[in-house]
Amino acid sequence: MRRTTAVSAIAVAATLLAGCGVGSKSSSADANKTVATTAALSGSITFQTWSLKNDKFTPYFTKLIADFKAAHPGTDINWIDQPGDGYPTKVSSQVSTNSLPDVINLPPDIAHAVAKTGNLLDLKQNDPGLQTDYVKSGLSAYNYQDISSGSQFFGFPWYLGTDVSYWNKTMMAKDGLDATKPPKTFDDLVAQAKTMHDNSGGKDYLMSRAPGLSDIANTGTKLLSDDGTKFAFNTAPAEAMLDKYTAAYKAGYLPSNVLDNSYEGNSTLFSKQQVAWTTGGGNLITSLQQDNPTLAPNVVPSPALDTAPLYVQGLSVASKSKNLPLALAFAEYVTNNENQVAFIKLAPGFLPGSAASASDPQYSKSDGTTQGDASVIAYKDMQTAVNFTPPIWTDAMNTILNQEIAKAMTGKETSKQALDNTVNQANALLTQ
Amino acid sequence: MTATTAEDSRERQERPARRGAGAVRNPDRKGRSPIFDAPTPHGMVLRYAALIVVLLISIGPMLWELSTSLKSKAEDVYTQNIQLLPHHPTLGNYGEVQNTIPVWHFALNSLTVAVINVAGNVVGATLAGYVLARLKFKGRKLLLAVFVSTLILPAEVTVISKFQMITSMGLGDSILGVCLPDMIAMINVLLMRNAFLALPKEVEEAAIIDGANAVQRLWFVGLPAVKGTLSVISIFAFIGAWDDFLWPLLVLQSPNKLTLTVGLSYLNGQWSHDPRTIAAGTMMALLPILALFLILQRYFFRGVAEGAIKG
Amino acid sequence: MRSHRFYTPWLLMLPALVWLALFSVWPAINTVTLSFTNVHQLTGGHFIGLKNYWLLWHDPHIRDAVINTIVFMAICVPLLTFLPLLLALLVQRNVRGIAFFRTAFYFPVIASAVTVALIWKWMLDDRGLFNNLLQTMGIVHKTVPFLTDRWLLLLSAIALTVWKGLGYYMILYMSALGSVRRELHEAAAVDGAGTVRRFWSVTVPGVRGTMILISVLIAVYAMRVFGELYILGGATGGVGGQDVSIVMLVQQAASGSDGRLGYASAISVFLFFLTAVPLLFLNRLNKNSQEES
Repeated sequence: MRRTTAVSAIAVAATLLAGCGVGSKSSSADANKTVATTAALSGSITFQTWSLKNDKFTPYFTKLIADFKAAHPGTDINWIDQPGDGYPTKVSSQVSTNSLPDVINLPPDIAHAVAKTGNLLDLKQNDPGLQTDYVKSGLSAYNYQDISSGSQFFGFPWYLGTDVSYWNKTMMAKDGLDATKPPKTFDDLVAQAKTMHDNSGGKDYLMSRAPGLSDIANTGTKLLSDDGTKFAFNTAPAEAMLDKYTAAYKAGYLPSNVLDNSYEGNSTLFSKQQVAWTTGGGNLITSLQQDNPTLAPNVVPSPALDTAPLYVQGLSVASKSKNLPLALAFAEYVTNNENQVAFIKLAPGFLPGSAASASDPQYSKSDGTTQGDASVIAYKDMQTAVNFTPPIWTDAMNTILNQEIAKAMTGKETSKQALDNTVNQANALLTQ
Repeated sequence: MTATTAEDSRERQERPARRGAGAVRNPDRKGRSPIFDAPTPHGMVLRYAALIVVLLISIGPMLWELSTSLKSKAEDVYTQNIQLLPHHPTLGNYGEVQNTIPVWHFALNSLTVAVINVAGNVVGATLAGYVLARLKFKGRKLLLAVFVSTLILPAEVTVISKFQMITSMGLGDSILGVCLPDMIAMINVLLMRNAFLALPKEVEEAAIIDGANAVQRLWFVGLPAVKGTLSVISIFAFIGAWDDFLWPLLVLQSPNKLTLTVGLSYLNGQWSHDPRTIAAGTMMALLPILALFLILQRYFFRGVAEGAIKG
Repeated sequence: MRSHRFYTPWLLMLPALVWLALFSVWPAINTVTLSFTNVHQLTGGHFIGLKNYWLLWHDPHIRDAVINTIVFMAICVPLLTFLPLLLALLVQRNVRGIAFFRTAFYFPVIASAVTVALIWKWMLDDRGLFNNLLQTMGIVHKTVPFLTDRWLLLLSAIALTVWKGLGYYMILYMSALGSVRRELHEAAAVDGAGTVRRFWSVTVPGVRGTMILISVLIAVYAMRVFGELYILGGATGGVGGQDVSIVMLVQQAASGSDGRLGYASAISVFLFFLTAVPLLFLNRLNKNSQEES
């Protein structure tokens, strides 16, 4: 997966935060509504997805909506899809102009920001089966400590993803490494990177990205302070990790452009065969087969290093919707087990958010193809995957982190200074 | 290079009839040495050499980019030897730009903004400039001072507030929102004022005696005489709007509303790292404006000579 | 006899006045007001006094930006004050084809800063034209990191700014040279002054007013630089974020849906005071000098 951080505009949080002068007042009243589900459904709602209107998924959604309308005559679903870029901004402007779609596809960070303004319906109150019908790890992504002390849930988990490691076995064999015994931890990775570097005369690279928040979390450091209100990840283990990256960078185990703005992401470098390792979603091989068919057969998947990150997508219901019964019913329909299983068939390597099939043995059996193997690895990773990014982490903070890491890795600062600076500036941004 | 004097530029202003090298006998210079500043062959060679060097420096980079944009995928753009001429020139990269970003749409957006900008400035600045130059009324001095004082404010300083104003008008993320603030630029008002001030008062007074009102005087007497400055303002306004980057970057979000400058920067950052494609995109942004300038350069330099810039 | 009705001036000026009020006067006042608040994009904020300025004072990025600005000015001002004058003299003489050269010299000015920056970025790349030339000519043996070294990136942006500005200031000088009287040159020549000497003793003093004006304009431009650094260094200011300009910081602070408009406005006010310095200097010089610019 492209090494962009999972952050979107959690900025929406700071912005949509009310209570300070002009701006929408956060009203938990809306979120706390209980929806009447007895009457027959009627009327129309808007259903918004994020970057899912394409050749692969459009037939699925069209059929989904048609089936629903057949089962509930007199209802209408208006499906809109937003392009991949600029989604956080789009959603914030929908919130501020009171035009948030009734059922809306949101990742946890944007959902957090929108929920803080009271614009998302509490699903726990309205769906008694919530905690049994959906996977715990998915649900917890939509449960926030800073909103009603975590007693509310704001999204139906829809599909879960994680990072799988992919290796270029031809490149590795060329430099004396065995792709069937890939690194399992970060230290392994550095060691094998050294081998590759030495044997290829510095031309081939195993490591392909600079560290980020998930690497810090993987050192066992807690990102937030104990009360969850401030950042506190400038710890000794984190510094040690950054030192290792600095040493690796100096020794030439990383391509020199991972730090500057011509860096295209580790998966692009991987497709160009400049590096022999990348992380990606469970379906990378399928997309490689399309874009780079000569590379695909050389790719070997393996579990992600250390602990895998968890990426969750969900469906939320707008609390200010004018047709709450229909919105809620439709959201539950889209995320019911049957429909989620059908969806995942189109997106191999992901897992459904519904509890019933998440542990279905079919996902733990490979069909023998490399993509099948990757899907199984993704499935196994997801059992223990963790969502690393705290909801209060914003884009601006991530930029600061990247800048400080770049300074440390190029020797302009010590690791300690870099992490201290990041924590201080991020905390300052929290209060601004 | 020989340090010439103002001879030639003065000639252009007074007597455009005589052209050519400096040995022209200017009728005004009675009795002066005719061979001062006469071009020597040595001097001319040096001069042309210098001109060519500067020419290369000026347009060299653009030629290099043009060459890159025409290179086929098979050719290595990062060669050790500099290859100015492509081996297999192709227009394929231009096609790829169109597939990657909606470049014609961006160009149309830029064009729309630029045209509206020119129209607004030509109308608004001319009206206000004329009034400030030729109509006496109470408060004129104060108003003029206010106009002048806006000049010390760089656009970047007020960009945040303008952004707030535009979004509160509901024009955030819209082409109109991009056009609006610069549709009447204060500097153009002052430039037009300067231009009108330079006109001889007698003609206007004659018109007043003939019973012409302010608008008629502006239309029939004033306008024809300030064509030079008008064209300079129009050209500057067009180029300014076409090339503007910071403001559209802030205002526009939807991918289909971007102007060319912002769209191109996305091409650089996210979409493609093929230098040929980026080069093609750059050329698509550059060539129209260069072509436009080539066509209009006569008016532009004439307007400059009229003293439009002096103000 | 009245030449117009009393309301005519106001009527004709109405559009310009509306624009003046809405897009010049109000934003100026509002920027100052905003700078004392913590307004965020899409939400409100409230008055927080001088806190933004305190933050500004302690912001390491501001420090980097100011240093970058000073370097920019230190190099651009001398270069762009003298080189365009030489260019103007070069195109002054009415040799054949001069219009072509003159137009071509102006091309860099017309191109957008973004376009120019993209072109230069391509040439400055590790494997780009400049590195190739330097290595082929044997001047350097390793690639020169024009775009990733903190200072080289800044110098590259400066080179690009100078290149782009030559034509523009050349035009200004062309206007000014018109007023340097020929007789002075002739007198100096008769006195035996050579070309260079005449340049220094006749031409330069003759365009002194313009020179001062141009120096000030360049200094102000250096403070307002944005597009060049944004494209060459990337939106976040190069590796480590140290190649930022003040305007870039304004844009970064205000962007995104969590944009901090209050803080961005404080930076803007700071920028205003910075640019006021050379402008006040110019005003004083104009008052003192007799020549018109």
